[in-house]
Amino acid sequence: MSGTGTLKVKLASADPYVRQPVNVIDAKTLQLVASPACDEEIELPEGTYLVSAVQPSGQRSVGAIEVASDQAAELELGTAEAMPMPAPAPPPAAPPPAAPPPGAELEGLGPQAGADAAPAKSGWFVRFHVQTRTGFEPAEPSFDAAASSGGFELTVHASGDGILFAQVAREGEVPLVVALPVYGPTSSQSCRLTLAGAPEALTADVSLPDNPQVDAVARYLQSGHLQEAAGVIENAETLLQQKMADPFGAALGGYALLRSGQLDRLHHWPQNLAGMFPYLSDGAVIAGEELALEGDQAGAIAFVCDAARRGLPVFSAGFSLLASRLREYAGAPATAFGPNAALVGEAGAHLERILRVMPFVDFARVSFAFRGGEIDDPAESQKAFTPTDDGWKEL
Amino acid sequence: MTPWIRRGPAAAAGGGPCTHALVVGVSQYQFLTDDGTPPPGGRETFGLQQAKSPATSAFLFARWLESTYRSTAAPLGTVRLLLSPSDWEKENVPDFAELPEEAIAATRENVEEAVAEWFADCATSPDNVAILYASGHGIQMSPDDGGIVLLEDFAKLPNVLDFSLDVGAVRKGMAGPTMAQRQFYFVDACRVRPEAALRFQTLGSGVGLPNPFAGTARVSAVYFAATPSTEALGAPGKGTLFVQALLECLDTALGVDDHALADGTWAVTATTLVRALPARVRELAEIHQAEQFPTVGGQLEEVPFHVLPGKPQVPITLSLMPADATACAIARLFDPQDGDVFAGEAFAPTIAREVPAGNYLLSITIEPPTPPFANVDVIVPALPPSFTTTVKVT
Repeated sequence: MSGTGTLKVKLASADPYVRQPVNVIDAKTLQLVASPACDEEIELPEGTYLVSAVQPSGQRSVGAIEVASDQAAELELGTAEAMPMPAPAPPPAAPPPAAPPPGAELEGLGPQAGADAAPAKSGWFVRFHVQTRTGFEPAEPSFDAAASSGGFELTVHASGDGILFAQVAREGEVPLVVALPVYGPTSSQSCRLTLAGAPEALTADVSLPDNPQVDAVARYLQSGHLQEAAGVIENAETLLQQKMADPFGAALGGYALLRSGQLDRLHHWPQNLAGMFPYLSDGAVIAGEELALEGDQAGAIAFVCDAARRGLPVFSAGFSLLASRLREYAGAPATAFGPNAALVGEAGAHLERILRVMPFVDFARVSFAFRGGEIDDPAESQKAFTPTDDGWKEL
Repeated sequence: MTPWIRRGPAAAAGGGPCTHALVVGVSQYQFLTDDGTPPPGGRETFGLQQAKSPATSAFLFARWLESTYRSTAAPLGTVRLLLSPSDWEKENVPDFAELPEEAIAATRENVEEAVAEWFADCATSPDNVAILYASGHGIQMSPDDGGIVLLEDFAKLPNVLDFSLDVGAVRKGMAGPTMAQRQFYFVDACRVRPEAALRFQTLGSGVGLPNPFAGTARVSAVYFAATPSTEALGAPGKGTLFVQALLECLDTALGVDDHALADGTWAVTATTLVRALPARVRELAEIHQAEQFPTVGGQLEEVPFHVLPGKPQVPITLSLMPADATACAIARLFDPQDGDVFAGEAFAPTIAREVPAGNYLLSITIEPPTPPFANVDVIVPALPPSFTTTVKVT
């Protein structure tokens, strides 16, 4: 007669503060049996199981374990001693040719990209702004800068109310504005900004080494591992209830749940996020999107307009959702919104403002980023940067 | 128009839920020159020239639908095919020697009619599946538009974008209580806003659908070949990088999860494609020493797009440590229930095979006995997308 045992999976390279999800798969049927977090003990029928996990970096580990009746089994994935030792990067299913075949030069399917980019010269510059409910103000957070391969790494330390934006520039290029998920009462008061990129292709990647859980969600989202992103934040609501509430982590968790279609796991806590952090547009965006997907358009338009009033979100997913809903609501019949019918006109006004930023947004990044010389008017400031005294600091 | 494929009656006519696909590929443009120089008559054509890969790509995808696509809940019902192959494709791509007569030119008039008919078929049951694939020159008027693909008669009139397919506008219109609740859109085109377009507030509006404001479908996933402001690339004769990657993801272990679904089947789902497709497109671009940045939008959920006919074939790579042992090591890979996958195989210096997804035993025998090397047995969990291991034999 078969019994049950327990299994705990450890990830050798896991950050101790990140409870990464693992897949426990029945070795016979190859069906998913459970998706616990690493270090979580689960009960299983006795048998052989295959276990896999994906790190936020995309590195994948696979192992096998026998669970015996009334026994506690433990498997450590990703260690050098473990046998077998899975390699991190999966090769393509069919080996590609080493070089393009003769006569198969690539063609572009549209106008050439980057027509508006200006030639790069030299020099890295940075300045900061904080977005409050009344607009943008200059900010002077402390930061450390270190030269890195092809660019710089900035560690920015900041606390306050509002959303902090870094604006980075190289001579001859349109500056890049990046939202930093680090202001306000977060569990992490610093973030890292990695500046790099070939001439005419300045990039700025945000990471949160001091907040590995949120950093892991961001990296999972960036690489398309939606289930893993949603899995890391077991309950995003708890991020709001901790002593050091983490609204940015909660917002990112909310986007992960929305993106992976797990509306049932939101159960309206985004409305608390929107209420507790009035400077954070993302909370209202998520609350509005949740209501819209549930069919409550009257409630949704109220949150969507509230989000737009708050200003720019911290995450590009928020900007994308906000623009999309504003576009939809601005053109919808007022009768669809019951008591909030009057907000249709307001949605149109917000849309007009958002559309002025839209062409310059980099939607490929998790953090909200756009190009522009003036943070409050990118449309009129798509000009090559030349150093001025206007708050710019050379690195 | 007559669909290229019609299998069985639509749901409204007494049939069960079906998959309805609309496939559009445009390489031939009536008003573009071969080298991108402005055509006579002062038409605004954004410097675009005739293409050589979009129609090939669309036909590759359509034929994959015909021959391979498998949905247990909504089998393939119809495929509407609109193709405008270029002269180069007609001469160099064997598939275009004899195009089916149901494949009609991708002009505004034809596409408008096809979209309307496809919409009507999709709206016969919420359990239907809707698929739209469009490939051609693309532009971007605003970063949140859902993809604009230029049609064969692009630039016929001064409102040049009247002759385009506005995938975002189509998607917004695909709503309603009886509309297919699982929708998949593939936009295989560039998303660059041409410099010339900056001079215009509007250049017309492409083929779309009225937006009924009836809520969105449960799943409405959009896979873009390119992020806003970036290019999509195509290899003449082989199709776009996007369609090459897409078909690889759909046909191999690349596109499935690392486990079977609850019913025992293996499927490429809306969310596994999010992970696999952009990554594979980027890899293919790197092979060509180019860059392409696909992206995904819309409403996602873990629902199957394509169910594989059996277990996926998983590439495995086995090697030894120390490497010297390869001279005297013989490998046997077997499934205790199903028997040997291979036996008596030497390492040279690795063993690379594709095996059905599964849990295998690898038995390594040292022949003749050569200390310090020793016989070893290890488990090989061959789960998608691939498995690589180095076995220690000391």
